[in-house]
Parts: sequence; structure tokens; C-alpha cells
Amino acid sequence: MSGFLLRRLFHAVVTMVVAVSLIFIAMRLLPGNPLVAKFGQHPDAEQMQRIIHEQGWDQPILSQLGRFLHQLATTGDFGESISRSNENVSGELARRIPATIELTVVAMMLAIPLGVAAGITAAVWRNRWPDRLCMAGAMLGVSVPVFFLGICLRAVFTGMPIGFRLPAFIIDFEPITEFYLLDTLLQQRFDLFATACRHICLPALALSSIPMSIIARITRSSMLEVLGADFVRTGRAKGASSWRVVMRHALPNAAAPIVNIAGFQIGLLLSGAVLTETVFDWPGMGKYVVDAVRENDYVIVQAGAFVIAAIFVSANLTVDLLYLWLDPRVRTS
Amino acid sequence: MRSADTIETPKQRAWVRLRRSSSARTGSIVVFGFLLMAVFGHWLAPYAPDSRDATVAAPSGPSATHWLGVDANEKDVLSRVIYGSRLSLFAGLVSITFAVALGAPAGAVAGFFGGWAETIIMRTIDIALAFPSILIALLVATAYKPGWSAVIIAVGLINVPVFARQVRVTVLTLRNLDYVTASRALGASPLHILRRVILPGIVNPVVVLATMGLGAAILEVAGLSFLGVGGDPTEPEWGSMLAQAKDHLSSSVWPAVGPGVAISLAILGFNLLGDGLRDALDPRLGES
Amino acid sequence: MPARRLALITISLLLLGCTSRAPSKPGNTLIYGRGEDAKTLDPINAETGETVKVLLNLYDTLVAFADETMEIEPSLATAWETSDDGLTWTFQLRDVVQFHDGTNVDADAVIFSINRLRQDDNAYVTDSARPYKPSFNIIDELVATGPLTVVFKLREPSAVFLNNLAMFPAGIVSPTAVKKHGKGFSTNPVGTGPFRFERWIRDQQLVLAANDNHWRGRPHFDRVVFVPVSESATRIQQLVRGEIHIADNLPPAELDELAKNPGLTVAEQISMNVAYLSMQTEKPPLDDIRVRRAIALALDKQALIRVAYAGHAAAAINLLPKAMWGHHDGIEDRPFDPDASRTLLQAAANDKGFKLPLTLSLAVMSEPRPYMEQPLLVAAFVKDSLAAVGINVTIAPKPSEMHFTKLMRGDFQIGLTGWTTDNGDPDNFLYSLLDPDNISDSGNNTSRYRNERVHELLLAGQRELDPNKRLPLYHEAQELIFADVPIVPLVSTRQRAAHTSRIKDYRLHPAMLIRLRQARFGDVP
Repeated sequence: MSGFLLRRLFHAVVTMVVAVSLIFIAMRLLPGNPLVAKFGQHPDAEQMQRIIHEQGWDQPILSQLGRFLHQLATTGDFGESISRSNENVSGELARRIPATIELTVVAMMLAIPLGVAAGITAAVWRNRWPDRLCMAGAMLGVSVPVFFLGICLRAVFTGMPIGFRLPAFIIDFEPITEFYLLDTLLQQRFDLFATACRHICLPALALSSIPMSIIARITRSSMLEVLGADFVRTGRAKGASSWRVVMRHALPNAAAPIVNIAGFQIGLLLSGAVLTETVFDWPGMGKYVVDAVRENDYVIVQAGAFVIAAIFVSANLTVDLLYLWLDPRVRTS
Repeated sequence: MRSADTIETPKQRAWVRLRRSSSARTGSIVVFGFLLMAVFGHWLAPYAPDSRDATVAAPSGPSATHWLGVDANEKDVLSRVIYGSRLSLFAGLVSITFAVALGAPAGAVAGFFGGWAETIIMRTIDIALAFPSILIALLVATAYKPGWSAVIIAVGLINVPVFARQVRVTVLTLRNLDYVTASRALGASPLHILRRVILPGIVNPVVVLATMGLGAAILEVAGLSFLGVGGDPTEPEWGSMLAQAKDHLSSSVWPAVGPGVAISLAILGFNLLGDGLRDALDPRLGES
Repeated sequence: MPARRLALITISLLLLGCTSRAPSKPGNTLIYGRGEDAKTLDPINAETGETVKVLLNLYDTLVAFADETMEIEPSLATAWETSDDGLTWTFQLRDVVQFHDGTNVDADAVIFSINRLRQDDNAYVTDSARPYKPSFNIIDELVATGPLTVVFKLREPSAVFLNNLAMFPAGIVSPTAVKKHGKGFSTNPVGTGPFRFERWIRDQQLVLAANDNHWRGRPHFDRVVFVPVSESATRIQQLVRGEIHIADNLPPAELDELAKNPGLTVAEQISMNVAYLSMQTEKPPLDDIRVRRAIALALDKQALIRVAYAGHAAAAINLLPKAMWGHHDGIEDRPFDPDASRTLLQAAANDKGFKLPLTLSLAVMSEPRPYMEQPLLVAAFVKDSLAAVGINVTIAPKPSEMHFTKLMRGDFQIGLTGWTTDNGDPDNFLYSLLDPDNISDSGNNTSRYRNERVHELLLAGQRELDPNKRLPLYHEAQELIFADVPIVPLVSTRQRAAHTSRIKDYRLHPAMLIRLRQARFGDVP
């Protein structure tokens, strides 16, 4: 088992290095250079030439890549943003990654219980109206794009705050971990906690719709499979209540595929987060990177790509481990 | 009573299942509706996509003359939604064809031959999957000469892994079937096996995935043009219509409703049809 | 049962959410919502409008633009004089002005600040991109002739030098702070402005606090918080909900909706800007003046103002905004005349042997600019108008920075662009945007217009210090430009911003300078 783990870990590292190198090269091949964002309508050819030379952007791409990877490996630092004067990208990411993770986690906390509940409901009342209702909802959920759902939610819940994690007028809040929901509780600022909850509601809801629907469908089918299995039927025959059968016997056995699919959702969620953050002005990593792509800011894009790849790869590792732990068949073999 | 024996071939059985499936029915109606819209748009649409109506407030909601309202450009939303179906369906179709053309052979090679080919192909796919697809598409779409062709290529590329993975898994299963191993032991050439067993075997899952993929592709195309990387934003296209409508929400939400519902319905249609096809063609094919 | 306990916790959390009171707003703090964050707080590196908004409140310059005009008035300098040859300028500094860090403003601090802006290898420059440096290359030397006296020696006489000193890049910075913070100065700025820096969380909030010791007197707000909200719809919703007090850069039609809200006021001001259609005059078919005139005749500016500006703009005839000194009022615009346009186009087509309809690509920026709040609406309008006279237009929007680079390289056919005054001088429009000196990969003469006579006139205008002699030079240049049609001036906008009616004395400036010194809450004593 540890051999398996090591191999997975090695794969993960290789995947990340290659992925980041590809993004690095792709960014360098993009037309235009990041300086145009700095000079705007007041460019100065002489200064721009100087800066390009100072930054080493006139050197071969591979040697630039070598320097970048070396710097990353030795110092762990991504360098400074180009379009934003003297901005330390690692520091910015350290603030924005928690914002994205918080949003994603809350979305998953909505998606998993609600999706599993809907799936169980559908499976237990198979082919009756609760099943049809849940599955129709799930179908709709995967079909409505996040960016349209965002507009709808804003139009319907006009009373809910949008944009930002806390109201703009809060200037006395010093985050500790940058996970605002956690920080407000740690600092016992319950009023801020409630406000932060309200702020995260709509974006998290919009983001959760697709994974929730997929989880509901997976839960339903894997529950149906388990409910038909011998041990469940035996349980029923022995007189266990159907609620007990579902919760104690069927659900744990159906859990493995659910966890698996929930893990796969992470890539999807990060994609969704990019759009959600744009629609809701959520100051996370997705918006940061998308804006940087527009401004051709190499440093931010490659740092963001690195972090996103890292999150994805480690999430997949975690899922593999959970899967090992949950699926009795894999565990014993 | 018709006994099971009277239905002979798997094809006929699949057809019966397909016709019984309510999701396939609904899905095909929706998809057919959009196809009609795309093909006969110029007859169906009440106005030309670029005709302006200076007599109404812009943007504004539904009225007797403009059923889905008027956008900020003084143009009829309904007409533009109808014309917009062309670009969305076309872009979806082309990009999925592209993805199948690239992904299916890659997956087949990986599954059938294994070894180095498999390692390289599957590693590449792992790397591609390590990024949010929208970010890859965004990079590809900005890297090339901007336009719908760049968007189509980007969306095609991010869908390649979907097909490659599924085809590989299918090929692996088929390859290890008893009668395949047997016929190989009897000296059947790999080409023979490929043609007689593997190719027919992967058609069904690819058709199912492509149908669902069409929905995803329409979503991704709209998503990219919503983010502002697309072709000419003054052409009728759902994503950019939505993007422009979102700046005028306090004047009127209606210009957003038309294209938003159209995108959702189109995706829903392809998803339903894909679901129905899957149940009919290959009940064993998992949900993943 | 664990499930029941979970339910209890959930319910109590929900109750907590309902009963705990919402966080209260600090009384005298202004929340200013805009579309984008500042990129730096060091004046020498700044370029974007959103950056400048903050700098104008953090720093003072030697001289300043008046409250609502482009008149130059004393600021950190109380008096100045010019030598007869116009090469030597002597400034007398205000006595005892303190930087936010408590150090005093003296001649050395001024020299330090201006040298940081203009010198090639200045040791205190931490980011070598200084977009406004070329405007100060004219300075040869700076000398302190007394603790509070600075002498500027110029390489040649300049009519715009004083106006340039009033621009934000020439803001006076604290040498002590620059030396202390090094790179960190751009995030820990120290100036003498009405507000001092308090904190900056990029893309979330930028907090300034009142400078109690400002030489003009303490500003009214205790604090100003700038918040970047990129979606205009979000800014509107936050304004309506009272989360922000001022929102700018909103689509004009949405502003009209907001104006109906009783709690909100819309501040208005003319703006010294112009939106125009640039045409690449070096490449066929736009090298043919008939094609350019045909395009000019095909655009109905009044309809454009209705569709893309909700009526809040004025048709522009010249490149120079009507509100600016030097504008030629005597030129009458070409009427909107599609028939004449088609005829001209046909004539050009017969002559040059191209076929109609002609296909042109229109370059446009994807983000709003002050002179064009809705670029895509303008683009769609141009496309439809030109389609009516036989020109098929394809549109390729790009992020603004890439868009401008493309235009400067001459890598386009027709393109939407515009300009907002930097210093209020006609030179800043006519020379920057249409002089052959500015044809290069990074020059703003995007239409690559070359007219020798115009060039002579513009150069003479730069050196002539007497306004009465300068005016005819610029008038003649405008007449020549109008006849040659290198560009089609479209509109000058009216700048507008929505704010809560609680705010009083919030005045906009024609050059779009956002200065919050005089504004106050009406209900705060």
C-alpha cells in the first residue's frame, strides 16, 4: 500500500511540473507583452525595451523556464506581478486561495448532503413522484450554466448581499487564517460571522448546483444497486426498519462511488469557481487568474496555474485514500 | 402478449428501449426544436438579427411587438435568440467532432496496444485534467487569433480527455473478453479484432458521450464568450448576449432571460437525449 | 441521536444569523465603489484612471488644477516666475507643510520627487515603468537656491510645462519614506495630500484616513474606503443597498434608472474627453480620403448618442473637446448623409478597383473607458451604420491594453478609441494624437496621419508661450485636420457618478480628477 502511495505521489509531482512548464511556455508564446498593461495609453518604447531586457524576457523561453523552476524550487517564491507594481504574488495567493477554498468547501457542504439526500429519496421511492421530482431537479441542475444561474439568483434574492466576503465598510477586521467563516468565529465576532455567511450564500449556491445534481444521480444509482443486494434484503427480512436498513447498511456500501465522484467534481468546481467568482465579484483565485490572463501577466498566471494544479492533484490523492478506506473490497485486497 | 423472443436483434431491443424512455423523448423533442430553429431561423424570427427598433425603450421587457423584449442595442431578443442557435449548435457540433476525432483514436490506441503509447497518452490526459477546463480554454482562445474558430478549437481540446478515457476503458474491457482472447490465441490478426470487435464496441459509448458532450460544449462555448473571449460579440450568440445583458440588469432583466433559458434548454435537451441513449444502447455503461 | 443534535446546532446557528444585529457602519467613513483597483500607490508608476483617483487624494503637486476648471492655482508652491527666455522656472514653496510621516516639505524633497520621475538611473525607482516620464524629459536640471526655493532649468521653452507639473505623476513624495520602505513605498505611500494612507488589501479595500494637518484644512471625511467592484450591476446593487456611497463608471442608462431612486443623487460634469474612430490612413482602402469621408458621413452621431450614451453626451466635431481652451467653434460638422456616403464610396471603388460591399475590421476594447462607457454598443452601432452604406464590418474586441497596442502598431483598419485630457492643454490632444512625431509602435497617432503643415503648427504651438498667439495656430491645425478626415470624432461624454443623497458638495472635475477633500456627509456635523 505504501508503494502504491509513493507511486501516486511521484506521478502527482511529475504531472505538476509538466503542467506548469506547459503553461509557462504557452504564456510566453501569447502575442503581446505584459508591459502594455503598465503603460496603457502612455507607452514609451525606450523604457519598455529596457524593462524587457532587465526582466530577461528577451532570452530563450527554455532558459527563462529553467530560471523560473529553479527559483520556485529553491525559494518557493513566485516573484512579483508585472502589471501591478511591486506586488508579491505568493502573498496575494495566500489571501485568495482561502477565499476560493472557502467558497468551494461551502458549495460542497451544500452539494454533498443535499445531493445524497435527494439521491436516497429518489432511490427509496423509485419511479414514484419523489424520484421523478428529484431527478428532474438534478437534470435541470446540471443544465443551467453557473453564469446564468448567478444572474437568476441575484434577480430573485435581491435582499442578499453580493460581491465580497464581508461588506466593504468593515475596516476593523483582521483575518488570521483568511478563511473568514473560521476567523470571525475565532475572534468571536458573531455579527461578522453571520454577515459572512450571508455573503457566501448565493455564490456557494450557484457553484453547488452542478455537483449537487451529479451527486444526487450517482447516489440514486448506487443506492439502487445496493438496495437490491442480498445483505440488504436479508436485513429487511430480519425485520430491520427500512430507515435503519438504508442508513446502516445501504448507505455505507454505496459511499465509495459517491466519494469517488465527489473527488472528480473538484476540477469541475474549480472551473465553476472561475465563472462564479466573476459573476459574484468574489475576490478569489479564479478571478485573479482570469484577470491576469487578460493583462498578460505571466507571473500571476503561472503561479495561479501551479496552485490550481496542486489543489487538484492533492484532492485526487485524498480521494484515492478515502476510496481505499471506504471500499471494503479494495481495503482487503 | 409479446414475448422477449420476438425481439431479435440488440438493435431492435435498443430502439424499443429508446422509444419507451421519457427522457429520450423529451430530449429529442427539445434538440429537434433547436435544430429547426437553427435551420429555419430566418423564417421563424420575427425580425432580422440586426434590425433596430428605435420606437421602444431599450433595453425593455416583453411587449406585443417584441415577445422577449429588446436589448440595449434596440434589437429584438427573440430574433437574436433564434439566430443564436446557429452558432451555438454549430460550434458545439464541430468542437465535439474535433474532440471525438482526436480522443477516440488516442483512447483506442492506449487501450489496445498498452505499453509506452498508453503511458504517454494517459499521462498527457492526467496533466490536461489537472487544470480547470475553462482556464485551458481561456488560454487557448486568447493565444490564437481571437474568433469563433479559436473558441471551437479550445472547447474541442478540453473535451478530448473525456472521449479518450471512455474509449480506453471500453477497449480494455472488450480486449479481455473471452472470445477475443480465444480468437487471438487462434491467430486472428490485431487488425481483424480491431475491425470486428473493437470498433463496433466503441460506437455506442461514443455516441452517448458525444450527445452529452454536445450539451457541455454548448455550455463551454457560451461560457467563454460570456467571459469575453469569443468572436464578434455583435453577432447573435447566447453567451455574449447574456454578457451584455448583465450590465443592464437594473433597467431590465429580460434581455438576459432569453439567451439564458435558451442555453439551459439546449443543454438540458442534449443531456436528456444522452441519458435516454445510454439507457437504451448500453445499460451497463456507468454514470461516470 | 446525533442527527437530532446536528439539527439543533443548525437551528441555533440559523437563529444566530437572524437575531445577531448586522455589523454597524462607521459614521463618517466614505465608501467609494469603482470598477477596478489601483495598481500602485507610487505616483511615478501610475497610469490607470483608477490608480490616479487614489493618488490625487494622497499627494499634492507644486501647482494644481482649480476645483472645477483647468486653471492652474498654487498648491505646494505659493508663487512662481519664468525667465524671459522661458527656460528657467523658479518656485517658492509653502512654508511648513508636513508629510504624513511628520517630515517637512523642502526644496530637497521636491527635487527628490521630480528626479525620481525623470532621471534614467535614479536609485530610488523600484519599478522602472514610468509612463509619464516622457512628459518631463524637457527638464534639464533642478537646483535648490534656498530651503524653500526650487529652480527648474528646461531644455527648451514649453507652454505645457506648468500644466504638466499639476499632473499626478509630479506628486511630491516623502524622501524619508521612500528611503525607508524601498520597494514597499508603493504599498506604504507617504505624501502631503488631504488623506493619508491607512491600509490596502488588494482587490478588496483601500483605506485612507483624514490628514489632520493638511495645509488646506482637515477634510470632512474621517476615512475614505475605495472598493473595487468589477461588475457594474454589482456596484449598482451595493449602492442601492447602502453598502457603498458612491459608484462611478456605470452604464448611462442604468444611471438614469438610479436617478429615480429618492435616496440617490447623480453628480454631473462636462468632461474634457473625446471618443473617436481612428482610421489607418497608411493602408488601402483607408488611404483614400473619399472612403474616410464616406465613413464620416455614414455615422449619425445623434442616434449614436441615444443608443450608446443614453443621451448623456455631445456630438464631437473636432478632436479637441468643446469644453477645452483652443477648440475651434467655427467648424461645422458634416451632416449625416448615407446617400452622399454611398456615392463617395462608389466613386472610390470605381477608381481604385475594389468591389462593394467593402469589408473592414473594427478594433474595439472590451472594457469601458470614460469616453466610451459601452464600447460594444458603439461598435454595434458603427457596424450597422456602415452596413447601410456598403461596408461590412467585422468586430474583434480585445482587452484595452492589447487594443491600444494594436492601434499604435497600425495593425488595424478602423478602431474605436478616445482620450481624456492629462493636463488641459490642446497640445495634449492634437500633438499626442495626430502629429507625425507620434507615429511609432508606441505612439498615439494611431491613424498615422501625416500633414507637414499641421506638424509645423503643432510644434510652434508647443514653444509659443503667449496664449493669444497660440490660439490661431491650433485653429488652423483643426481646420486642416477636419478637411483630411484622419479620424471621425464621435462624442464627448458627460461624466456622471451616482451617490447617496447624504453626500454633499461632491464635485466632479472636467479632467475627471476625483478629489474628495471638500465632499462631506450632510448629516455629520
